[in-house]
Amino acid sequence: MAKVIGIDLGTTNSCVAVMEGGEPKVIPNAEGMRTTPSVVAFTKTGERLVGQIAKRQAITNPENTVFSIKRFMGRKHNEVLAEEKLVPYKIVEATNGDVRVLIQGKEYSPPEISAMILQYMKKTAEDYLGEPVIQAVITVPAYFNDSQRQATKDAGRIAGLDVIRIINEPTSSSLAYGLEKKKDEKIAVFDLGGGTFDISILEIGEGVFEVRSTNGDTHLGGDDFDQKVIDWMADEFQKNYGIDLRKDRMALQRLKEAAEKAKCELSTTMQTNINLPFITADASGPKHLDLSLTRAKLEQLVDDLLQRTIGPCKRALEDAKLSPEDIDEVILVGGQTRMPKVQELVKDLFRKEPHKGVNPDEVVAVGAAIQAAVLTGEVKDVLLLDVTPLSLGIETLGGVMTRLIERNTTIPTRRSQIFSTAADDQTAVSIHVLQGEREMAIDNRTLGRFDLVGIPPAPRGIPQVEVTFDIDANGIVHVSAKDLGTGKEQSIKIQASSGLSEQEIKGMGKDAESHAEEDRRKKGLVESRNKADQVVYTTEKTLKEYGDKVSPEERKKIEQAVEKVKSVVRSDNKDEIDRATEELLTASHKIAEEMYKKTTTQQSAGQGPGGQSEESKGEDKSKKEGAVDADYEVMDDK
Amino acid sequence: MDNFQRALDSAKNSGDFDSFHKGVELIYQHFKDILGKEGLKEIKAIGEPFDPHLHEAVMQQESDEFPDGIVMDEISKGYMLNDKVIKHSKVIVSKGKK
Repeated sequence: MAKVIGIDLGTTNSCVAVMEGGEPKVIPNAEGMRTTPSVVAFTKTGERLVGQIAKRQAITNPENTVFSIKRFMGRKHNEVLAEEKLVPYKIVEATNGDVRVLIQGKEYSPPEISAMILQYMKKTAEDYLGEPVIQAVITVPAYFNDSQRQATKDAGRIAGLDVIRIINEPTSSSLAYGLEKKKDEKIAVFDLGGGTFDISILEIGEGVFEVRSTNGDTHLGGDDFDQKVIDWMADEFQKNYGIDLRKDRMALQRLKEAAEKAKCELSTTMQTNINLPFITADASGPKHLDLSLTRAKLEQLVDDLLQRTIGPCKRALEDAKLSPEDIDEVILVGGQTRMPKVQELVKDLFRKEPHKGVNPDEVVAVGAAIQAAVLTGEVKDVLLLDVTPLSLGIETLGGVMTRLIERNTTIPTRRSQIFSTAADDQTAVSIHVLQGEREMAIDNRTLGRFDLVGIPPAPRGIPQVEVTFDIDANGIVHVSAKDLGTGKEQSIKIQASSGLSEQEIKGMGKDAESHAEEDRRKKGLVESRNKADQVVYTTEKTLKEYGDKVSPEERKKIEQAVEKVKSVVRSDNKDEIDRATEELLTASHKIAEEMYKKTTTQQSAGQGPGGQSEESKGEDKSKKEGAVDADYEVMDDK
Repeated sequence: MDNFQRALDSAKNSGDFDSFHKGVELIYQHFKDILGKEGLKEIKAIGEPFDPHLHEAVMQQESDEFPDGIVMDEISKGYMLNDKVIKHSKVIVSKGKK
């Protein structure tokens, strides 16, 4: 049976894992890394790069290198104005208000960019497993609303993946942690990743995971810690030289890398030096940045960020109706939890030593792989109950939001409620579907809107309209309204809210596929070129050294063949390059033949009629003329 | 390892920096030869077109000498073991003329 992979599609890094022989295994990418930067780059030559390689060229190409795309997934442009300022690539608004990334004059939707990362993760898994991968479980932050979840699903489809389940990251990490523990426990998952902070309170027992509550901050993570360090460096620099480095896109990129490095170093050391030569220049000459940062100073810089994790933790405990003493275990997830101060803070909050037994960068993907195995039946006796993170309801008289499904309700779930008309002879009701915790409809997020028409005229309060909310296991919401008098029904599936239509997704999926095809073609072309280059090189070398051993005609023939290869090698025609290379190889074999003939005759002559066997002659030859021997062996390999 | 030990011992006992330097250089050469035989190669960088498969750009600068997109300086060497990059060269890439 085909394997189902688990993917942690992170803001800064992504990770893929699969169950193998009952054990979850993180799959290293082509570069041997266990996590892949969620970075996509478009080069000047039209190449598309994903992961570490995209990150390595980021400095040379900041406008066309996309990172932290997860922040824009399923969002409207007017919701992300603050984030837009933090990225060096261009964000524009689509006609429907969605976010688009503008790269080299072409607009890409966030799911399309995410799909490129997913395609890379898919390929990583396929290379490792040696077979195609179709199905996947992808994780999202607990706070993701419906349209963000849907956008993630769309990204999967564009990448050619059938996303069989979207699960919350904390649920996933608790799964990774809880598999071997079967006793009843209450667990707090403290996930401080690159871009998001999530705190979840879970209950584990008898192989069943129940999410008691979730809370967090969608705008708090390692990136913000980096930003604090960047701002500090830029402020110090401005104090000394009066130049604002934040205005220089390239300097900003260098500051960003230096900040991340310094922060990571300070998790193990007490002090670090930040040294950026030639960061900028003014009329008086080049300027260098040279600063020293201590762990204490870093902790002071990020103190307000650390404080911001406390509120959500307390609220999560309240929602779960638990006190810190009730929590049995605390799990740390996300690279930022490596910071000693974070561990200290978590310890103070829950009055327990946090659990660091699982690698904080990989734990989410590992859990997703376990979930995948549960769904395929590979792992039994684990049942996973998930909850809806936000309340759902409809707008009723006076612009009030009436909740049908309270937040933290375990899903899948289904709730119905009867409503009536607000005015006499009202023949239509408008169902305005909302998500959020605020009392007034206007303060919450609109998921969708539809009308139920054809209600027979009657005094207000008489008609009965049954509104049903149905959330499936993936957290996708279906809403229907039924007039119990006439049996008329209207429903919507809240799905198109990622901003992409069915057709668009299919088109993008095709694009992605053809791109993969193109990549394969390009790779083949490069391989042919490399081979051609190498054959030309070895032939020319042999010709220079032993060219006098062949007749002038042969020599000319070979030289012509070399010229032919050289003339086609830069073309895009793979077949032509292969053909010319083949011809050159055939022609160059002549030298080998001639040389072989000559050395054999020479040796036979030199050794005289000693009556030696063919075999021992061969041995002698290789001893005496090892260099020549090796040379044409190489060519015969080609 | 023995050679390193010898070098350390001689550094302790003798003030002759030149011969110490020469000794360390010999060890470096020897070490490089051994690794070279195992398939270790230095990655070419300066004067080559910037290639993220081999190089990591740490900064970009204007240059009169090198055209746009060409590696103009190497901050640390990269290495390949057989055909696999084990360490990327950290490089400065030219932005072309001012």
